[in-house]
Amino acid sequence: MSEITLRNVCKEFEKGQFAVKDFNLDIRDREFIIFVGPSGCGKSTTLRMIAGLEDISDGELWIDGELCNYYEPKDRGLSMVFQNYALYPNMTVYGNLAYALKIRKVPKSEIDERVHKVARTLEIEHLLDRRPAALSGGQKQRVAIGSAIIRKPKAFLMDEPLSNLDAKLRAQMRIELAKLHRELETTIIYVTHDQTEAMTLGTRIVVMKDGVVQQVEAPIELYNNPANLFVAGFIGSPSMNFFEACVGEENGRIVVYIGEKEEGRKIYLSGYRAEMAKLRALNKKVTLGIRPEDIYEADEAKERGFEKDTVGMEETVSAREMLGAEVFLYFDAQGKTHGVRLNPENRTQTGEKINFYFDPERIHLFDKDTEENLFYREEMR
Amino acid sequence: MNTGKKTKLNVSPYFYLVPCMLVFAVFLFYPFFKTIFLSLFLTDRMGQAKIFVGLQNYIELLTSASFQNSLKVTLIFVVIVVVGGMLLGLIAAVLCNRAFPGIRVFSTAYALPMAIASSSAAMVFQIMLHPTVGIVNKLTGLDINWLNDPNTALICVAILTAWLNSGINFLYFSAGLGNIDETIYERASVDGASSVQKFFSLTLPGLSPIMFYTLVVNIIQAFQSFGQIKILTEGGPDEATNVIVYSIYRDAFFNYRFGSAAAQSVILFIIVMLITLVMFRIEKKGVSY
Repeated sequence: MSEITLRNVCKEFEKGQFAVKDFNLDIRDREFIIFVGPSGCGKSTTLRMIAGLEDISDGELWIDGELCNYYEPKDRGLSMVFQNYALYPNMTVYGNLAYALKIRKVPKSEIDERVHKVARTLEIEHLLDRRPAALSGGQKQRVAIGSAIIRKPKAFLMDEPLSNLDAKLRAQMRIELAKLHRELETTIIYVTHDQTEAMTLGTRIVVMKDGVVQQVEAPIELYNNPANLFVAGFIGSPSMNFFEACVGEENGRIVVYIGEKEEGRKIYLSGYRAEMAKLRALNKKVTLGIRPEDIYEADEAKERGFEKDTVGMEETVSAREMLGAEVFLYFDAQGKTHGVRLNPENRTQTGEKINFYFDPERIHLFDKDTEENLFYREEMR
Repeated sequence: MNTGKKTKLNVSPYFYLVPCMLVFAVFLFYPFFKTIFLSLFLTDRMGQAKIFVGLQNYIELLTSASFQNSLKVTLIFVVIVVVGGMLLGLIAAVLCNRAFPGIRVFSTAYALPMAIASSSAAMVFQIMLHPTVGIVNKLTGLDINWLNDPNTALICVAILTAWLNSGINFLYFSAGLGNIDETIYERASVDGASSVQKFFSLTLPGLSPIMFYTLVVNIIQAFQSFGQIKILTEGGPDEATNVIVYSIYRDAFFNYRFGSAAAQSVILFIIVMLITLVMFRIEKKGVSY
């Protein structure tokens, strides 16, 4: 059992300068929680406050029903994996794995047994006599994880553990971490700036910006139902396309005009979306967001039956990327480059014109001032 | 043609070494070999070699009670100076290895002995240790003639030297501590280590490379201490502080026995060289990474 609760946790480095502000989160047992955000958003600071390496300026930290604000790191029962692995350079791999147990005066025979068990799990048994300097990045990573899991802690804290590995190794370790989480059945709190890691590993993702939590949601909810412009732009790769737009009414139907009304590029909304747009943004300027995979060419739009609700945008392709399973076309509009993900059968080449249709059920509208998603449904949480 | 080119190529690197070698030759090699040469002779009052006596100077030295006492005194002196100086430097460096208000003042204070001339420090100590007006006796309420008591004189001189050496040791250790990765301490905190456990399992091993270097330098430095002994005790009382270097000085410039002084220099050289060689042998085992 390990439940971690943060109540209005703040970190104030200097008077009035908050690195983390009013962080609220209930972490349930066995969750894989991801803190994600751009660098400097306070995600690592929050993790370090949970670990006890930073003082909590304000708010409460509860671990398993105990208020832990003033507990020493060693008394919190957590273990941590650091970005640079933090292996003890003067000890062998065996010594590194055994250190936490040795300090707790665990009998030698038990230490030996547990070290070998962990080493077997992580496939580093043949490295036990080596020093960290003689290990590769991936091996160091395994030793760091091994030293964390050997103690059977209440929860694991991981601070960008894969960021020093090359892309291939990172993908491999990602899969192994997910497997490890299933096997260990423990809570993991994981900090990353890599949204692929966030999307693939997390049971829930906490998106942060400037020390403030933007949204806490399961990965797919976060992807489909972003709370605001920042989350929409941060999650997803390639990222969401944004257009200047405005909302109007035509013959009783709610319409979103891309750019100005006179340009004639419009998308008819219906149902919940029409209601929300009418309620919150009628005759106002908004930001329209749409993911690359929700834009289609004429044939497919017709097939999917929304071509009558969308007036196609005729654009010139400025770049084309063929990835085998998909093709990316890029076009410039409103001074920005936008991406479209299409079926690889599409043969449109750079410089040619093509008509794009936006799926009206997949567009997002963001308030110009608050940057909130007008279609965000809190109850989906 | 070909061979000519080759010789030219071979000469040029040595050419660059000439300025350095010239300085070494005048100030190091010549005095060194001259010392060995002199140690085999009886000399006149001007230090000129007169009568060749072979190893007679060495034999006399090794059998004389005075020189044996010098060796013993030197050994005790070196142990106190090295252990004391390194401990002082290490403790100061560990204390100053975290940020707090006034850290610069403390760092400067701990490094300051490095900048003080040994003779002026000796003068200050002389007054502090004075039996009637000295602050040491005043504060402790004792009545000890520190520098004239054979039981305390050597310890006093050694402690002064240790303090003088602690400044540079503080700098070495501070640099060494700065090289230890901060996150391993954080990991150790989370792992459950106390400050003492962290010091012995992380800090000391982390310092071992610089510790070894500092040890070698300190030993050599301790063997060569002179100024403070000259001013505080002049080898006395009753040869209690007559370390080899002072004994060399006394033999050469008071007794005009340059041959014997040269022989003592050679013996000192052999001792220091042997210790350094042994230290480098041990390094491979003692320095942990």
